Amino acid sequence: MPNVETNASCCRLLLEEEMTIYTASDLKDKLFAAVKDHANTELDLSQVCEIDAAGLQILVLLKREAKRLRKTVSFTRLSPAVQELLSVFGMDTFFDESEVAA
Amino acid sequence: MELDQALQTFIVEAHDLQQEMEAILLSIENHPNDVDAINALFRAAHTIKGSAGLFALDELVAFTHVVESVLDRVRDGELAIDGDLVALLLASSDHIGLLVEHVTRNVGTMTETDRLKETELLVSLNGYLGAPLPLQVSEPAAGQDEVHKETTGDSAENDNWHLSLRFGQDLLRNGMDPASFIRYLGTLGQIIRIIPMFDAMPPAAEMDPESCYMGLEIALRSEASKEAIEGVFDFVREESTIRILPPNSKVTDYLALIEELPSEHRLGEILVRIGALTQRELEEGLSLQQKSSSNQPLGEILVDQHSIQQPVVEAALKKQEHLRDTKQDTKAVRVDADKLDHLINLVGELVIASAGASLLANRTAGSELHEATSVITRLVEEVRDSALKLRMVQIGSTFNRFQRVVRDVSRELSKDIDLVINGAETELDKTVVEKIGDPLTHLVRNAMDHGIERADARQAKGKPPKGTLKLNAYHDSGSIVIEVSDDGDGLDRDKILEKARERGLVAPDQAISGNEIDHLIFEPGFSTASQVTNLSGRGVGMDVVKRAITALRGTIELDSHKGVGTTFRVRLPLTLAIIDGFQVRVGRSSFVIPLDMVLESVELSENDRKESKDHHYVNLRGEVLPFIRLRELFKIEDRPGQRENVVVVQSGAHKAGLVVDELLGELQTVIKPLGKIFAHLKGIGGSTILGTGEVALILDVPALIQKTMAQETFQTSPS
Repeated sequence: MPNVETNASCCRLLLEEEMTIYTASDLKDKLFAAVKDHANTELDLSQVCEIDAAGLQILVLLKREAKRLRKTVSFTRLSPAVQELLSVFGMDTFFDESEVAA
Repeated sequence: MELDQALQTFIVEAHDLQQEMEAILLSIENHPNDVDAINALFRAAHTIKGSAGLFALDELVAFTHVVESVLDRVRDGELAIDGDLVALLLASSDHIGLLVEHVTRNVGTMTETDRLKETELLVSLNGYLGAPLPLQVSEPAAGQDEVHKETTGDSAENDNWHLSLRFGQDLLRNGMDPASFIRYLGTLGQIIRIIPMFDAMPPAAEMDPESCYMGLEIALRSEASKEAIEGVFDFVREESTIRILPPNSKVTDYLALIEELPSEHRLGEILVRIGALTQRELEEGLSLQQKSSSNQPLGEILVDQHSIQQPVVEAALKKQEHLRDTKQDTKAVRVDADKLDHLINLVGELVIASAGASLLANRTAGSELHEATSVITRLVEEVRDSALKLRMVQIGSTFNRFQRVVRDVSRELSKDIDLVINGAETELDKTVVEKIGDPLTHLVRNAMDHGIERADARQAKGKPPKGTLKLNAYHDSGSIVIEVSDDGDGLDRDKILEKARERGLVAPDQAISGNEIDHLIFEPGFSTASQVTNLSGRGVGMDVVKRAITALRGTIELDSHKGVGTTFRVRLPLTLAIIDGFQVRVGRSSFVIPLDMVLESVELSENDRKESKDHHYVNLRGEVLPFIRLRELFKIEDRPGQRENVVVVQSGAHKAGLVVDELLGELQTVIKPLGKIFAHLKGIGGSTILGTGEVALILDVPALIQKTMAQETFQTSPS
């Protein structure tokens, strides 16, 4: 996963194309490491062309974990695939700052 | 459940449903107001679409969706069923069948022609809809007219179904995707609101990224039945917790839900957010819960307090459960045909092995052994019979295919023809069923084309203008009889005779009975059609039908009455796997002749033997009987026996003799097909293994008889 920008407190990650059950395990390890090491993590979702419930769960967990660790995670540039899945599950506003069912 | 297996189930079911659609469509034209049939049709399309959605078969979903929408309008009485619509729906049903077929064969895309056809169908279907309906999960539209129903005291004030889903942890690992369920659910109605629940998800360290921790609370507005909504989750019901509350459920039901699902208090809030309960209803319910004694479950108390309605609900639930139970009881087990064939093969081996064992027992003195083997033999026979029965299928499904044929052909010929089916429940071996389809189709088409007259001709004869074609099946002494009869004009004997004389099939001065004339139509290349139509008269005649039926060891005969109609009667053995045989011996080789073709056997007298050295016929009670010496035919060079016997066999109207050394008697014969290498061998139909372990060849009697006939003409023609 290419780190687009990174410094001691801030990390910007461009997520890979596939966020499914097949990549979930890897994804979890990498993302959580990033959140642990940086105060601010920004995830760029523009390249995600395939996402399923497993991928979504990781994002939900990530958000929850960040809150617990008092760090911030932001999700930017949602790809159409991500938006579609969010809308199926009624989570359109999930990545806005409001707290939704996480 | 593995996905592959689920997909297989889907394919089988989709196929059945598509057949069902076709059957309903064929009957619906005559009963356009049959509400049940229309509903069943809608359900079939709907179920295909729904299950296809689960497997993300987008092409199938998209197409079936349009079909379903048209059917929905029919169901609502907005569209009337007429011939054109039925024709369109039939074509659509065919297309669905094709798409399912693609899934079966794992063909990714349609061919160009199929796609063109689909576009054409879609255009026609959309014509019935007024406008194309895009398939989507719709969000509640602003200003949507709210339906307010009269709400009774303790019913929650909402018109939506409430679904609480807690997916099993292995859902994702099993290849299912919760999103596809929701997308499919969206086709059943309108998803008003959906709230995901992730409270089952453990802290990050313990979370297994491949497990599913998701839950969903859904408000759904839908006219679908509870069964249909439950059906969406058929594939995950076992491992997941699924609760579905119908619209206007009682507050107590929602409270029970809150109690049952682990998310506890929060769920109450969610129910309010989702609109299932109002804040007031929730608070009242919860305060009731607090007032009641703590050691009694909430559900029970509340049920007590609302005891008037509860029995009604319970009765309804019980009824539903009962319906489901009976449905499961009658459910048959689907078995792979290959497995069944394997079983039959094994049983065949068993029959052979047990014959060998009893042969040995007979040689050994020892009554106990005799007794034991006779018990085994009896059991083996029973096992054999029930194993063969497993492969028996009802002929009904084959017959029903002809509804379509009759409908299409009668349109093509612009004749009005009814198909009447009798004895659809008659059973016969699956392999026979598969092979009988084509000859039957030919007979049916033939009857419609040549048998049944045009409406004006019928009326002139005082017959009802509508022709009737009957398919009838019944069992008769170890064989199945299938009749195809029409109420047409009967065969034109003068014409047949004229043609037969023209072709030299009948000598000019030969006297011939009416029935014999009728049977001439089975001769090769015989067609009386003065007019070549689209259907028959293309050189494929009754002789082909006859050959196909003879190949199944069956016979065909016909019965025709001028002005009244014609009946074709096909007689087939019940099974192709095991037959009664007659064992004979030539030199050291054994042969088996199917017993039902054997007429008699006589010894070839010394006189005849001498005479028949040069010619190949004997005088059988004043009748000339052509024969074949198996010894010569198969070039057996063992020393000739002291005596020779003639086995007189018959196939159709022809008789012939087979000359053998020794007659060994009857036996149960398990037919083993010969390999492809031997396919060109004339006169051998298969092989079998005798109790002694020897191989015996089964004679193909019809082929041998033909050979004797040819040999006879060859010998007599020069003179």
